Amino acid sequence: MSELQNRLDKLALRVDRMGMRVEQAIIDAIRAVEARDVDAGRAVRDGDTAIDREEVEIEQECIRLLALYQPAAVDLRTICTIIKVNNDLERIADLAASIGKKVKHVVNLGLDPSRFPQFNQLIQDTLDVLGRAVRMIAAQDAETARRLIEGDKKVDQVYKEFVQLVLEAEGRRPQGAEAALTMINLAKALERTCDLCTNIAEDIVFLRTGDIIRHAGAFEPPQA
Amino acid sequence: MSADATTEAKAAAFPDGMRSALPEAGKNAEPAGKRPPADPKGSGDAKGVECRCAIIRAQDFCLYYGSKAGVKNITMEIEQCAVTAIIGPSGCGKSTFLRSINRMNDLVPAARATGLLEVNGTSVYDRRVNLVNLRQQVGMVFQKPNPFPKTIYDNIAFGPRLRGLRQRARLDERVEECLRAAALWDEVKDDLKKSALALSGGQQQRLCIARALATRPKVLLMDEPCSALDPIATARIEDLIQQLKGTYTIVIVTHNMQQAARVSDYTAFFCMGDLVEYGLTRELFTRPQKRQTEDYVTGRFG
Repeated sequence: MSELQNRLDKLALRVDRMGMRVEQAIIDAIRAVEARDVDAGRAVRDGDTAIDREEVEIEQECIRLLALYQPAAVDLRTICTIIKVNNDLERIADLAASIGKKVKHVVNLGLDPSRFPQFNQLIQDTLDVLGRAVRMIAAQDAETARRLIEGDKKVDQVYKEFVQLVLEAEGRRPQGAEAALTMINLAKALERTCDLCTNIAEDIVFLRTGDIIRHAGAFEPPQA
Repeated sequence: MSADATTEAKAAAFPDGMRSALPEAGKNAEPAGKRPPADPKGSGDAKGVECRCAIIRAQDFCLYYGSKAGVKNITMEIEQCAVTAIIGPSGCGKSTFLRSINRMNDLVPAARATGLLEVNGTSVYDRRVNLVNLRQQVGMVFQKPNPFPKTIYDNIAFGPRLRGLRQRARLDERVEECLRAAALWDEVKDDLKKSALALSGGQQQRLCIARALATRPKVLLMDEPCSALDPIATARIEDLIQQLKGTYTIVIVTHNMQQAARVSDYTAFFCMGDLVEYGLTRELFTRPQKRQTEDYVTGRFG
């Protein structure tokens, strides 16, 4: 096996592990909200620094491999995909940190977003989509990736319904604005997590096929 | 028109000059642009090149060295005024194919060609083809710079003189034009009477390109033109290739895949005498269609 292949395999493994860490961060953040555990929320936020460091190291290794080996074909696509997936995972970890930070507000304002079934649905969908996306990074299956992208529209719909209900319920209450904003931000973080998982799926399709399917149909893809 | 110019104009009327003794060769002269899109592999399973205007056309072309085939059943079209790179492992037939285009393989005693290989509608392996005319129209630059042991001026003027151009003023004009086109004029304009062998390797190679341009060819064949040059001289040749491609059709054989990826519009991958895959360079280096190509461009070959 060539040295490039060796280093690419190690890199893929690191991204795979990074995916698992990020998935755990989102799980921990959601649990902290559900348990109203401010310390657990803070722990998620503190854990973000390690993920940030890992993201930078993975990107540096990608740049080194590009400079040293000038890879082509599947090797080039692998490195481009790793750079993008790595970045998406880091942003998901940021969202976990942001959810963790909001646990304090949930407790202080005495909020219970789980009284809205849409919020519970969003949690379920997020955990499902994220779990699939993380497994997909290792499996690199374009078909699973395409199915995941299709599922994202449902999440968007649930999020919109939740926003509507929260605004109706909190709009008339004193201090309702702050409560609504906190809950909507929580839901937004979950919805954005699903969006980023969709990006990861699109990158996996690119890795396998070389097709850039982002914004499909919106415009004629420019020539490379 | 002077006698000089008339002689030269006659010789320059390629393919007619080359074809002058070939009354029936014109039957292939259907405008290439009107042909249906080419399937260069012939098998239909490799992504092909849809030539808008093909200048070189190979159809089941084989070249044998004795009983051994150097290249087998090559079917491809090469686009006019574009850069086409030929890549592949050592012994894959890429240089054999390149050298077939201007019949350099004729110098190999047991070499024998079958099938069709056309340049601008004329079969280059027709016995009646005038080899001097062919090689003036299909110029070649080799791996190692090989200037004549003459002055810089005489190196460039050699081809045009052979074609009957004698007028000093016109020769001066041609020498300057070619040295400028080869991005060498500014460096040598005051030393035209000095020996070409006194130039650096990179300058010698650009001189060889200028010399090839002096006969106003349609096609420039380059056989690993940078392999003996340092990175700076290599970059200058690569820049030059980009400048020349609007005017000339360039076919380049290179072992340096990054170079092929940088300079060419189309790339053909040869392996063991076969054309494995042929397509747009940007596609071939990012998502090759064939496993063999993928293995080669990612260095897994062997």
